[in-house]
Amino acid sequence: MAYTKHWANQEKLSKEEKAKLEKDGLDILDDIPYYARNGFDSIPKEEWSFFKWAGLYLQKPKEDGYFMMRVNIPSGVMTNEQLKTLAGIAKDYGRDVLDITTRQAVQFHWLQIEQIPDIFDRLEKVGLSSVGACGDIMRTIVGNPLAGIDPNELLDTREIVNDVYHYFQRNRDFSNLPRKYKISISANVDNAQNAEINCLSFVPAVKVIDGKEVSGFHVYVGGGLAAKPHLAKPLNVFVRPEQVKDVTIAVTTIFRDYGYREKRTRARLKFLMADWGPEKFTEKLSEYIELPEKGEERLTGWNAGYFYGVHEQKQEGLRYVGVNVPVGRLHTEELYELVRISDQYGNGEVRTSNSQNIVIPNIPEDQVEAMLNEKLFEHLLPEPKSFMGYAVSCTGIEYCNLALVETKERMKNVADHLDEALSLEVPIRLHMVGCPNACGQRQIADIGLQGIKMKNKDKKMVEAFEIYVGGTLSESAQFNEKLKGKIEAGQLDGVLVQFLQVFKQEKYRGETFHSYYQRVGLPHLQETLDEILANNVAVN
Amino acid sequence: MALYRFNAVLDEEKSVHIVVSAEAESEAFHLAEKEIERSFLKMPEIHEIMLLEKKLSTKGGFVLQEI
Repeated sequence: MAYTKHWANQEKLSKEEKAKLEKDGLDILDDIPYYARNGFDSIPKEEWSFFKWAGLYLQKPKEDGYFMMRVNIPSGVMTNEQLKTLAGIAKDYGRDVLDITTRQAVQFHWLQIEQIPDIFDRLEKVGLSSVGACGDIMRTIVGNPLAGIDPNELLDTREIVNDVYHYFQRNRDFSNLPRKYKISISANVDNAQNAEINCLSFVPAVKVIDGKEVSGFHVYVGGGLAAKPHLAKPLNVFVRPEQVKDVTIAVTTIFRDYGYREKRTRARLKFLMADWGPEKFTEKLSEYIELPEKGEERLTGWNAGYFYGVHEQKQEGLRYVGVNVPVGRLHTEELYELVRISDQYGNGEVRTSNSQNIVIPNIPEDQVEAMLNEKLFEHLLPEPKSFMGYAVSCTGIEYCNLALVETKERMKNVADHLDEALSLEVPIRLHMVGCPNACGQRQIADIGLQGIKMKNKDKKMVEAFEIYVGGTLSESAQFNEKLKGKIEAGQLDGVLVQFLQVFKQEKYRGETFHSYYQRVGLPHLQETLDEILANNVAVN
Repeated sequence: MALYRFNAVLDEEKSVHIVVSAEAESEAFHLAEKEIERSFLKMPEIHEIMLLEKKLSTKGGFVLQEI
């Protein structure tokens, strides 16, 4: 169905918008075979940004011609064949590494243009795609990693997610959105989807209609992180499962047609929502689709997408096992082991979570022990320690053009060190990022570590970190707050150990870091950090 | 070429923001210090200088908020 780009004649448009009017982002898919035959030098520089629509970004330094590829994994559900294909791509082209992202997608690095057609072929054969994983388009759909097996889910969302995903894949009616567009569809009652930080989220809800309780969804719109984070706002509507696609089409059409295109920095849906507010947005939505008013929400808490350990499924006699993937990075041999193990003990499926970890579903109860005795789980732990189990990191300076510091390996080392030095009965969600952007979702962490560069007392340029505390998406959802003071990277372990020792001493039994932060307040945490920094442990 | 945003703490805990364009981080630090030097009649001591953010384009800028 064609549509009119009513903004085409708008007097003021960003240069990116003008370029998108000249060429649709998806057109790059037609050009890639030519570039693959003729090499990286045949790609005009002005074409580089269009590769995003194919799920490809140039790594740093861009001129070297290595790509990062992001592959959509809607709701994080992968078949055995798909995982095997991803392992093969990592082995043959990706220097043996695959990263799980904070949106359940996966990423490869070090790809060259000549390799892309073969990678596309391999992905297509198993029903996977990188198209739309980046760019001004609907990104991969975040969902419940336990969809269909979750004893607590309100309903099985797999079919809904697939339906929406396939409708929007390569759909030229929606390939020119004002900016990136992130949605989540989940009926997990623990908000595993991080509903408040998506542009559009469907969360579990019920409503009595004609005397009968109907399971469906409430709708949140306008969330996002980045430099100006904003929590999504609930609309006053109830959506039946069979209406999710139509509501997604309606909200996406509103974003496409009313989203801001004059200034790219204000193009995300959150800016439109901030201006309109949920009432106006609900009213506008009613012009596209008739929906009843809200029912009763069924979110009961927030698990941040963590599913560690062995748990009963809704299917009798079957278990799912959640294991930790340290900072989301898997190597080829681990991937192939996952392929074998998930096939041998389960039905071959493996699922990713937005906490950068994995779930292996459908293990018969009597097979669980044998499976967990496999050597792989000495590294991918089902019961990880308080820090490594909850450590999240962005890509960092290794591949990212914007990062100021190294993050992946450092986050692992810091978490390892903290686990050796401290034992806590509650997890601490540590997120490390290499710049002020939000790939590592620093804003929702218990403790966020944001990288900077500074000159130390010897006038040497060193990597350092600022600390943010108190982020959560639980009932009192809020982004974390910055503490004054900078910590040289080499001293980060020591400062964090001392900071968290104070937490350990002062916390009540079972008290989470966020509850502690709320109880003692930011000034107390600042005093604690000041004291540690004043003792010359860190560069202040 | 990229844009780099700095914060520096000078004498008496005076905090200043500096934005420079440079080819690399080391050059950006050097240029930021030079910008501080030329901005004060009496040369201040730089107690801290921190690179907080970079942007790949030299067109555009940063909003300098309270740090």
